Amino acid sequence: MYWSEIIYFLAWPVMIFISYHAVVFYLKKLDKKLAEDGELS
Amino acid sequence: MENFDMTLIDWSRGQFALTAMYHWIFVPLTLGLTFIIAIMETIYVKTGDEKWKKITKFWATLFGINFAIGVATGIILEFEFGTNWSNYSWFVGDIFGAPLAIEGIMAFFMESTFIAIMFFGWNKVSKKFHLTATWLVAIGANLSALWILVANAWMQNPVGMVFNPDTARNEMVSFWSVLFSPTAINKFLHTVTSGYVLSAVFVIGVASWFLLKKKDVVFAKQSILVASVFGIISSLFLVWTGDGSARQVAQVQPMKFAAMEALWDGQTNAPLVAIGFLEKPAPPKTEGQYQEKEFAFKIEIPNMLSFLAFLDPNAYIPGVKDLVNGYTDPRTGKREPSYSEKIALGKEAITTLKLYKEAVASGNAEEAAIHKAKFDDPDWRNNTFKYFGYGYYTEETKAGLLPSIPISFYSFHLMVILAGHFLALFIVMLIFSLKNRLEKMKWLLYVGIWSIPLVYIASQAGWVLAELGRQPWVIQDLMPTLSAVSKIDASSVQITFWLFAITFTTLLIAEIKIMLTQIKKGITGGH
Repeated sequence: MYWSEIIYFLAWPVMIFISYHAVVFYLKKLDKKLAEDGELS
Repeated sequence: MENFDMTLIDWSRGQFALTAMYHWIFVPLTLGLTFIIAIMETIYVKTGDEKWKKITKFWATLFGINFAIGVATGIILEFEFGTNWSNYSWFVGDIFGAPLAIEGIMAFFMESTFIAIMFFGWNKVSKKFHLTATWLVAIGANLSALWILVANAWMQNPVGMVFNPDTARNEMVSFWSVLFSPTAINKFLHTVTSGYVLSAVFVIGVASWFLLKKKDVVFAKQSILVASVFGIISSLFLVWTGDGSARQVAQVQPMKFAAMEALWDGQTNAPLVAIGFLEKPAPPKTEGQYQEKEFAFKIEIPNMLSFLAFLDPNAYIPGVKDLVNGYTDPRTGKREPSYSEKIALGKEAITTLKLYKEAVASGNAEEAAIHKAKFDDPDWRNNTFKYFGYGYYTEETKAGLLPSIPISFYSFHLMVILAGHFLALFIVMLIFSLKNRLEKMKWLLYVGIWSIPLVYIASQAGWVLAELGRQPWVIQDLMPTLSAVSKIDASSVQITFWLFAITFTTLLIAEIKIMLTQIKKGITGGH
């Protein structure tokens, strides 16, 4: 009966999950660039 | 209307608005920063890199300062339902009380229990246990927001209840209808993601200051990256949920929707005003008439408002005048009564309740049964009782049934334009972050810092639209704000208003000072 609302609500934890993995993905790129520029010890 | 003390009502509204707006300065940062901290700590636990522990602890300190004051203002807000809005609490306490109680349990048990571990558990519990506590604080803070937003959404779209004429109270008949009301879910998702955007801007602003000061440079760059990515995803989610919220408003609060766009005359293929300025209002022709304001300047997107509201570019959007005077949707043929008709229906509902109570009091069972039957009749409930709140107004006072059009229009557009600015900021910050060129982009760092006040303005504008746009209703169509207020002396409310104003301002100044001191200390003391 409330399936559409429940699925919509579940988009919230999915968004947090995606955020975490996207952060890790881009952080690796940043750390690589910082290491190349000699800023990361 | 003549029975109402408007001074008392205005001061009560002012006091609640003051408390709510101060509360909303602190809460959004709590909602979002806690997830940013949880993500940072997860990176620490997964990599074992001590630098991430320091980063996590730095942001957690700022979170803790903010959290404490947010709780203080929130408690006052809940008390005000009883002290200043006792008629409201009486009328719908059976429904409103349930989500509010769950919110209390979430906030005080889940959030507060695990926040102790989050702050004082470093080196006392295992890394994984600490990380679990941090995630539970984040989830608990957001779930406590869910319940208060469910309660707020119910006021904007009352569902899952039935009116009991014996007690003159509304009673919940379906908890699930209240919880899973589309208005509630939209409101929750849109509100918490606005908090995520605010937190991401906050982190970027503070980290930009570190870069300008050439202090804790690597920490600042990594923080900006985390916030930019989190901010981009949150912003996209904010747009999606904002679209859903607008569609809900169009369906259940058409006057608020018309006010958001300052749409006076209904039309099919309605355009969306992207940017606009309203002219000075013309004086009303007769007493009690609304003041119509035309646009001095506007840029429109054709068909967009119709599409936004009903996913159909040809849909009909009623304007303010249509809603006041009544209209028939040219496409569906459905007729919406005028405000005059709704006032008459509302008065009939109020009179029926009065007659029923008199019949019960005088022991006239036959007459009581006749009136009671109306409350049991779904048709009467849906076509007459539905307009109960309009019965408090008259032909002379019906202009009071309109929200402030300029405030609704400007708060909506300010919120949307600034949301676009923040998304652009996150994208540009991410691009230059990945190129490791942020230090050279001083102008961008200044934009990052100055976006902090802007994000608070956008956040407040959202709530101003939500709450002022729905006026005069405390419960949509059922209870006007003027009938919800406690019958207390206006001077008492005035005194507490100023006491709260001084206290909250002092707390805000204290928070900013403590935060600035903490920020100046930096993560590593400047090395």
